[in-house]
Amino acid sequence: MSDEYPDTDTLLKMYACMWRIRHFEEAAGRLYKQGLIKGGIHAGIGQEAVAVGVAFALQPGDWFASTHRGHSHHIAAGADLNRLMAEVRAKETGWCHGRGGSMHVAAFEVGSLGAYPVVGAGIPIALGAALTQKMRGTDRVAVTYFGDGALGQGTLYECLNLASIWKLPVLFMCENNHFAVATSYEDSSAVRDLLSLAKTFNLPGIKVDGQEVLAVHAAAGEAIARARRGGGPTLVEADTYRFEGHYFGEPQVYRTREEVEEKRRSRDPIPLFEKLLLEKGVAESRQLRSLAEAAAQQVDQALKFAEESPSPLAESSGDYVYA
Amino acid sequence: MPEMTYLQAIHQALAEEMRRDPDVFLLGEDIGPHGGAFGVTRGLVEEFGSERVRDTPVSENSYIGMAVGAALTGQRPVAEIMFADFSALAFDQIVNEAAKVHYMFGGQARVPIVVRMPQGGLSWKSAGANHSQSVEAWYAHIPGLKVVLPSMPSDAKGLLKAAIRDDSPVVFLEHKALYSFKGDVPEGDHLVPLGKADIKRPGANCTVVASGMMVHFALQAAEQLSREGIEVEVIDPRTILPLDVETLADSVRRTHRAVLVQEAVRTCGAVEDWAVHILESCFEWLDAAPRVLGGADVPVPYADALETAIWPRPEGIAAAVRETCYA
Amino acid sequence: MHEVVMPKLTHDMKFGILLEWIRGEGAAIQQGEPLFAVETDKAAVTVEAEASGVLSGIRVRPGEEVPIGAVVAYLLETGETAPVPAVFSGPSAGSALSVSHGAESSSNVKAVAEAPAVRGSPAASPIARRIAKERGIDLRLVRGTGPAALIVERDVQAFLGEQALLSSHLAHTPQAPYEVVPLTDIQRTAGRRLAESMREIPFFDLVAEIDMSAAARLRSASGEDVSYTAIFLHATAKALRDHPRLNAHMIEGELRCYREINIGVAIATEAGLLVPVVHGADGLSPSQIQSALTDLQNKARAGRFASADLTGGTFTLSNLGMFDVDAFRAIVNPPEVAILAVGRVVDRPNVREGQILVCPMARVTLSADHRALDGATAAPFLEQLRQLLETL
Repeated sequence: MSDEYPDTDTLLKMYACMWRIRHFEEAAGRLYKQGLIKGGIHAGIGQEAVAVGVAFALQPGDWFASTHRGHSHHIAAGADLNRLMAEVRAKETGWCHGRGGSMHVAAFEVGSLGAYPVVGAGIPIALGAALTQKMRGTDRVAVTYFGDGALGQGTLYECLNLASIWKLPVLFMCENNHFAVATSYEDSSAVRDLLSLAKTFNLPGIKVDGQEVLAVHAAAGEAIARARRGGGPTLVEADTYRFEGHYFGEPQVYRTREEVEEKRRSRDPIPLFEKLLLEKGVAESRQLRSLAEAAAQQVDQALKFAEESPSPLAESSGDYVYA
Repeated sequence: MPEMTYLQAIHQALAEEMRRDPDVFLLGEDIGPHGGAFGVTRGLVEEFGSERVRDTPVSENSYIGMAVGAALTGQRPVAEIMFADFSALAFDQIVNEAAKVHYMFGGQARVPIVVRMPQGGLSWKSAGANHSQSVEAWYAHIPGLKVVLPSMPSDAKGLLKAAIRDDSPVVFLEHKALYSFKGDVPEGDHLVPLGKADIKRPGANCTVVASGMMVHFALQAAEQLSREGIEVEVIDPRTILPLDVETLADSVRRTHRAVLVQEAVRTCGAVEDWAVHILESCFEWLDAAPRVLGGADVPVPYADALETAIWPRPEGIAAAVRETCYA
Repeated sequence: MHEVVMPKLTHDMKFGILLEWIRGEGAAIQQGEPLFAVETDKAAVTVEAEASGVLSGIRVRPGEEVPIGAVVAYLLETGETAPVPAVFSGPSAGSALSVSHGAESSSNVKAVAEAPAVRGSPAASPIARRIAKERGIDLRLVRGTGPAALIVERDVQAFLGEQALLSSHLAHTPQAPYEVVPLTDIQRTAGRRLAESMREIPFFDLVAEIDMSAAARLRSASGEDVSYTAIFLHATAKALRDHPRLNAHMIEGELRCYREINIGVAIATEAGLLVPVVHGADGLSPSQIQSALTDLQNKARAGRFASADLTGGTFTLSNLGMFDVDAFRAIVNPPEVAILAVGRVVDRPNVREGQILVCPMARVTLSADHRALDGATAAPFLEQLRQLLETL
């Protein structure tokens, strides 16, 4: 592949990572149907390219704030899969000792500021992390993931304003999957073109096909590089799609089954990437199969680990209230 | 011992902690060159620069959220919200994020922020319903937060320094009508521990637990009652959450009578929490049911004539004490 | 099936407190046997069974207040079952009344050593209660100065102070300076009523000194069988015939002068002062009255008054002569309007026709309710009483 692409090793890691996310999310879905996971699981199936594209443009010391649909961000950042599955299974060995669950996962050692299910809540938090980097003179950056739903939240606009006036090293990463629960982006946003939003707040904007991992990677890379050299924030909009409901088990009255299946056929980021890798001769089919297989096995191991882990003790319910 | 105003005490605490720890920085509206709406931060931007004394736009929820993010990445921000009433705009970040991060992420991270807010009414320029509330109960109901309400300059300074050094998020409530109140403040690195009540005046006949401005009213009532032969013990919890129940209970076990008074609206207020704790721990020692006094269940009115009617006064506190003594 | 109900025992009784069950669930009862004891607004009374049967379905526990006419239990015939399950099964352990339980009891008087059943201690603040418990104070003895007579801390402290003061006057002993003597239900009821009487009724007293020579002669003629009490009672009853205004009740402002003359005689019992009644005393001779008195005294000792014995009084007589009391003033027994307090018969100097003689004399004090009587209406009665006694 050409120079503008990452090297083969990285490309294959990205591919494997996308499969890890896919297998993990599908396993979570199965556990949910078996009744082994309580609460809502918001799967990022179909959005793997965004998580992987951005994460692979980050470096140790960078930060990201995640959302309710945050497993993929964390897996892409390299968070231990066993502990992630254990957390989703509400076990003591989970990243959050069973106190957070799927919607409040966190893995600070890999740069996660935490997953915040209140829509938009992570945005100012990411800005705070970025502020610290600026005040301390580091060249580290912060990414804030948010969906099209956050376009309804005032804090997004306050933060675009703040990041812009203070020139904070932030990547505003919008995963526009066109639906906020059951409400379509078209119906709820007067702003149709996020690039214009960026322009209004005096910061650069990039729109990218969110199902093409390398396109995302390039856009994120550009934004992150800008932030690192003190150029301030960038807003990146990734046009993406989720193949499952807002949560596993949602009736999905707001779109047709045909639409979803059509998207699966034509816009699945993993086959798209696979096609690219094969076309460019980066890898052979067999190799890619075994990477996918290895990813599946890692997820199986995580399932086993989580299954065998203990639940937190009731006596510990009062721990961690105060630092 | 030097004497200074409550406002000066807070200013000093900020300055001393910022000198001591480079990770401490301030953010809020008009806190830089303007010196803050009440003048608390006047002079600080000159000493510490605009990076560390940072004026923000009118975006409460976002700059409090930024304080959370800054705290998660190793800093110790002290955010100011201009009036406690406005903190409602930042409610999500204070209550859903700052308070809960340490717990819901299983101890992976801490949020050592302090959110300072002037609150209260009583002879301050008739500020009305959205500039005069007392909000401690909003936050005392949230596990993970600490809520502090000093009544005296020395407590204000000591508690703020301790709050800044505390690794948990602290809501620091300042009574704006006390800003000009003068009192003795110890020199040196004066720290007052959070979660510890203070006996402001010892007495054997009745325990009066009061917060904020009501501490001053209670002390006035105590003077009058002393002339009548009733000696009142005035206790200031200082920290509303976590509450130092033992100091309150120990006092009531000695005096056998309790009057609890706050300026905030009585219904579901901290003062009712104190009463229940006393009932639970001191029932057999009580000579009378605890008397609970709080602000009336009304929004704060604009007119002075109305405003003075809605809050407890020293005479009311004295009357309540007399009732518990069957005098 | 016979319903056992709370009877109306006194005039203004609205409810009674069932003090104790004398027989228990499942006992075979004969008509006339004592079943349960009741405290009325006047005194404690035994209620007898009005039918025979098996006592069943006891519905009222000792200490409970029951309106008159309410069913308290059932007396069943063979094969019947009570309509409700019993809430209480047997007689209580301690009793204020010395009642015999089923078996014959000869003269024995049950000692009132056990504390009477407490129906609920007086209202007191928690700290007052705590101090009382720690210091062994009976709260019923403490006067409350809080709202609605709530006993508060200072009241208990005051009580302790009084006790301390008291004990400092006593010889020093290693034990506590006082012993709490519990009051019986009868004492407490009577105390309450008498206090009310003192508060409500404007008394006045008339005193007379009576030459008892004629009475003494009558007494020795009967072989000392007839007591002075019987003689006084006989004369009082006759005098009341001519002075019906003293043989009356004052009820809600209405003066009811009775045709029957039923004189109550104060008798001291272990359980307290009771006032059993000699009905129709004006129709009885002194020895008949004496029989009635003896009978009542026996009942008093056995603790077995029938309800009729303690009800219906229109006038009361109290004699403390046997205790060598010269004279005293008794408290009118409401709703009655008058009471006669009789002192001892003792030799004293008496002037008769200008001569000083030694005669057996007695001082009597008539106390009367000034709402019903005054000096002018009461004095003639006393004068006639004297006449009757001096001319027996």
